[in-house]
Amino acid sequence: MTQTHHSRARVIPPSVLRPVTQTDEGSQEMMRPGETNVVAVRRQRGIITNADFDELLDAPEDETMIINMGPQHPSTHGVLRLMVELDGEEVLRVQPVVGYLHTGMEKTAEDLMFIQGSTNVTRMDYLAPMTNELCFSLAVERLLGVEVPPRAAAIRVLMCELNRISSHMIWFATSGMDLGATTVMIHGLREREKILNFFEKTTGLRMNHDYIRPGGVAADLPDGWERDVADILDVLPPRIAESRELLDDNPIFQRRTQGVGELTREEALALGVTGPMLRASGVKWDLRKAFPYSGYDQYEFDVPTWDTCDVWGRYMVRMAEIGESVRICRQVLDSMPRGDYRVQDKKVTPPPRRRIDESMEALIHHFKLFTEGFKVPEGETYVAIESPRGELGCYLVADGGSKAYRQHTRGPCFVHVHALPAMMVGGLVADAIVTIAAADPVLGEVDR
Amino acid sequence: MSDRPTDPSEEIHEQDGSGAPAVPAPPDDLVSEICARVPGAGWEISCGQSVAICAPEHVEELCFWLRDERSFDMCVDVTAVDYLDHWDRSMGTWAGEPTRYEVVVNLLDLDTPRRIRLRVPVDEDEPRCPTLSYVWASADAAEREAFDMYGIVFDGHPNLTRILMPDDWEGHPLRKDYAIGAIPVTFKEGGEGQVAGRPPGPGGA
Repeated sequence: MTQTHHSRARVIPPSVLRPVTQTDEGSQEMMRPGETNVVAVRRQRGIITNADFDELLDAPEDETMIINMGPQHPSTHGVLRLMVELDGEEVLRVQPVVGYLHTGMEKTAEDLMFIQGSTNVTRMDYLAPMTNELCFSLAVERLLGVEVPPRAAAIRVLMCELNRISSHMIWFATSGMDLGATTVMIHGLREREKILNFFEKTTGLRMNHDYIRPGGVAADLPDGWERDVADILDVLPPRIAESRELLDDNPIFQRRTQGVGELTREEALALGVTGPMLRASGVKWDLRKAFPYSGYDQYEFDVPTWDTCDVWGRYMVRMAEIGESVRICRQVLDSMPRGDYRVQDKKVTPPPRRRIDESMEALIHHFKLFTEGFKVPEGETYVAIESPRGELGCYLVADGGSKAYRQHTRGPCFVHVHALPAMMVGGLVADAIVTIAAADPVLGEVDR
Repeated sequence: MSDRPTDPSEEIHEQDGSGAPAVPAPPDDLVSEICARVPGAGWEISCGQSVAICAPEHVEELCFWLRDERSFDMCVDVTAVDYLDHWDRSMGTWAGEPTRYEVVVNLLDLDTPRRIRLRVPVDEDEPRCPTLSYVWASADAAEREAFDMYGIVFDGHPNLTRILMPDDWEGHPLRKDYAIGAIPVTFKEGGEGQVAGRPPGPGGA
């Protein structure tokens, strides 16, 4: 060991060591049933409620095989690793092993000012960056006690709903590809492209926008945005209808999805499953209706549900949601209020660019805001919004300084990945692929 | 602070300071029920949200009651906070000593709909909290994350292993005394072994 290594020797006080040694902390991997405890095995077999699934487990142990799906396999939609115990082609047990994309974003957030925070959270769910930014910004605003102007709220709704469409389109594309339907993939990416072009025009970037910030949005919508959005809203519905023609009545698609990956209402609630997956289990639950934020109560839309509890239901719910998002976007387009796109609160909002050229005070104000940040009063809050995947929550603790004391993101994908055993067990390996696709995991958010 | 919306709890606390009852009455039906059921429970209205503060020994029973009798069907999230630099935080009407760690449980009632947040103060030397994974299955993975990041032991958890960090990782990264890493650099004048950034501490990466 060299000198350099020596200087970094780890001195672990007993208070840190004790919990590690006192637990049954072991491997995250799947063990043979004899090497682990009964409850863990039951979880891996997807047994949540007291229903009796034991007839699945008759296969003698030496005929089963534990294999890895992932972490580097396109069907796992990222670096998800599932350890699967198989009897022939039948799935007996599933253990998700996550963390391959863990980059310590919650630790990073503790070292970033609130003004920088949305740059960090936007990278979590990279297919729906706008919702991440919105959730973080709402949490900061609640601690600050700041209300954004109506135009800022309407812009946020517009961007989030467009983002919902683009996120569902990429889900449509990739899950079609998992089933071997490459035309669907091309169609989904083509539709998403139109929305990303609009995002690029507005925010300068196609993803990781940092557009929705505490206090409003970063910039007003560009000139001619009405035409761009109207164009998207005119083109999308017929094109999506055209794409649906490829799948809706397709007997192969129906037989691959109907009755696959079943998750009952009780299981979904116990596992904390939210969003389209919960709605496909027949629960009419949408945070935009239950706890309206950003003025969602001003817009008319329905919450589509389906009661088949399977992959087919999730497909139907997501497709119907695209239609509802188009409806909301149209209403925003017709009713966009005039006024400020960010709150006129000197504590939070930097002065406009042209003032900096004229006024020394404005320059100092701008400089101090971006070097020191703004202070957020002490407190803790939990804000949840409906992301395309489900309940996206932000638990934020502030200690009165300009940096978050603790920022925790409750990602829907993290929950859904750990609900996979309940959906996959008892099915075939080929169905497992479809089930993963229907859960729509984004590993950036699972691992954070 | 001045432009925060006034919530009822602040007014009550002001009365409290001017000689009114020592423990103000909770404004929320559910919170007052919890305070009546659970010995020593405290409450707080934080930015308009109901928060109950409950000792670890009562939390499991309370959660079973909330699930079975008060239709809190979903445990949205279990996480933790390390208040190492912040012992003087607001603890509402909680009468106990502030502790270093807190386990935070977010619950959701889909029928009403309403939310409640439980804060469970957890001891520094032996951070222990009973597992809620038998109440709601969704707590399973979330508790593993809180264990991985903070080293809080969830007693009775079926499979309390690391979840985001590798199996052989030492220390718990989100603890405030965990060194975020430092790169040894050699300065011309200072000799060898000087370290830029924060000095390495427990479990430093």
